[in-house]
Amino acid sequence: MVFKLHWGPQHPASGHLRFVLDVEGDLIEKATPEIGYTHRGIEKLIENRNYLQSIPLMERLNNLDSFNLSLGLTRAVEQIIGTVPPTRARFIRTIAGELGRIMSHLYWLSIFGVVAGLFTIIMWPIADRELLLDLAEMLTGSRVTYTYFIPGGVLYDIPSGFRERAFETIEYFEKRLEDYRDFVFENKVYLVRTKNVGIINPLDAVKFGLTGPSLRGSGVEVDMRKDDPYDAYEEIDFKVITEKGGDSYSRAFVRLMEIKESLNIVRQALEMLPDGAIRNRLPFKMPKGEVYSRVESARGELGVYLVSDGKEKPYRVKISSPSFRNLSALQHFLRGIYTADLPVIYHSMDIWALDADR
Amino acid sequence: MQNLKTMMENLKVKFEDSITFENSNDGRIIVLIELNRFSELILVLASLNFDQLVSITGIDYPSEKSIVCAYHLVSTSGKKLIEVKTSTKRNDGVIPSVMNSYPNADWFEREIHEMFGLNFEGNPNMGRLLLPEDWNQGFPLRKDFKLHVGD
Repeated sequence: MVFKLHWGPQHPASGHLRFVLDVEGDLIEKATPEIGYTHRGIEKLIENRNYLQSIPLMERLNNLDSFNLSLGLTRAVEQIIGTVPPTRARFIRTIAGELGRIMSHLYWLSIFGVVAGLFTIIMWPIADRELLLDLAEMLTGSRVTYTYFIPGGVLYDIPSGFRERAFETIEYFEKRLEDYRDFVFENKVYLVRTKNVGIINPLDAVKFGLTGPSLRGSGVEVDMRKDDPYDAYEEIDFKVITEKGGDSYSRAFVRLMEIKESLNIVRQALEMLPDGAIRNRLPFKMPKGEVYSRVESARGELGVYLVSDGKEKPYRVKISSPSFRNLSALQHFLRGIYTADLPVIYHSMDIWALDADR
Repeated sequence: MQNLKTMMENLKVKFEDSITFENSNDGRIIVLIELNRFSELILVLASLNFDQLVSITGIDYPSEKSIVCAYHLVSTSGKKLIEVKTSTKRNDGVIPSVMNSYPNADWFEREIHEMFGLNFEGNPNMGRLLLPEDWNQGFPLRKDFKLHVGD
C-alpha cells in the first residue's frame, strides 16, 4: 500500500523545502520537491533597483557563497559595458571567489557528515571556517555578505598583512584536509552510508540538467572556470576535479578535492598578484544590451541573463541558479531508494533552498 | 560536432525566412525563430549535440504586446552556448513545451507560467511552483505588476 509522506520544510535535514514522498514500506516510489518557502522575488526586486543596489541583493540569494553570486551580476554588467577589470582586480577577485568556494564547501561538509552518521565532523569544518571568515573580514570588512565586487573591479585593495595571514591559513588547511580525509572519507560508517547510494550515470546527469560538483561527480568535465574563463582563471594552472563513480561518495569527494584545488589557486594568485589599479572608471550611462553571463559558484554554474534598456535600472534579470537545476533533476533519481538514504542523496547535491527559490 | 558556421548555414537553408541570427558581445550565438517552427528547431538542436538546457527566461514587452522566451542550450562536450529566442502574444500566449528533448525544462516552464501567464503545450505539470497555491494577484514578473519600493 502506498502512503504519502511529507518530508520538510521543518525537518533537521531538509532545509527550507518539502518533499512529498509516495512510500511503500521503506521504499520511495516517487518524490516531488515543493519549493517556494523562501521565495523573495529577487528578480523582480532587482528590476526596481539600480545596478549598484542590486549587488547586495544578489548576495542574499545564498549567504554561504556570496562572493561568487555577486560576481555573476557584476560580470554580466561588465560584459554589457564591454569592460575588463584591471589585472590586479581580476586576481583579487579570483582569490576572494575561491575563499568563498572553500567556505561554502566546509559548511556543506559539516552538514553532510551529520547526515551520513558522523557527529564529530559538524564541529571541525565549522570551526576551521572561522579562519576564512577572518580573512574575508580583513579583506572586505564583513564576514558573510561582502558587497566587495562591483562592476569595474573591487571595492578595496588588499590590506597589509593579508598575504602572510592567507599563506598561513593555506598551510593550515593543507594539513587539515588530511584529517578530514582520514576521519570522514575513510570512515567505515561513512563508506557504508554513501558508497553506491544514489548512483547517477553521466548521460542522465547531463540530460536532467545537473551542474557543478554534482555533475562532475558523475565524471562530466564541465566547469565555467575552464569552459568560459573569467577573471584570472586563464592565467592560473589548475585542474577540474571529476570522479567516475556517480554515487554520493563521489560527489562528496569531488568537493573535498575542490577545496584542495582552490587552496592551490589562491596560493598561485597571491604569488602572481601584480601591482596596479583595482577599479576601472565606468561610463555614467549604462549602454543597451543583453548578455548571458556564467560563473562557477560553489554549487555549480550560475547563469545571469541581463537585459539593459539603457536606463538606470535593469530591464530584466533572470537568475538560473545551480540549486534550482540540481533540485529539479534530483526528483528523477529518487525512485526506488530507501527513505533513510534520502537525506544522504539530497545533501550530496549541496542544495540550498534559498538559492533554488530566489 | 560540426563547426558553428556550417551549422548556422545549414539551419538557414532548412528554416529559410523563419530564422535570423544575431551577434552578441560575449561569444554566444543568438537564434531568433518564428513560433510555428520553434519545436522543429529544438529537435534539430537536440540532435546536434546541444545536450543540456541551462535556462529559460521570459521577458515582458508590453509596448509590443509580446512576451519573449529565451532558451539557453549548451553542449557539454563542445563547450558551446546557444540562445534560442521566440515570442508569443501577451494574453493567452502558448509555446510548445521542450520537455521531450530536455526534461529539466519542466520547472523553468512552470516558473514562466506562473510569473508571466504563458502556457506550455505538452507540459503536464502546469501548476504552481514558487508562488502560494492560492495566489490570485496577477503575474509578478510582468511589467504592469508594480512593487512599492523605498517608501
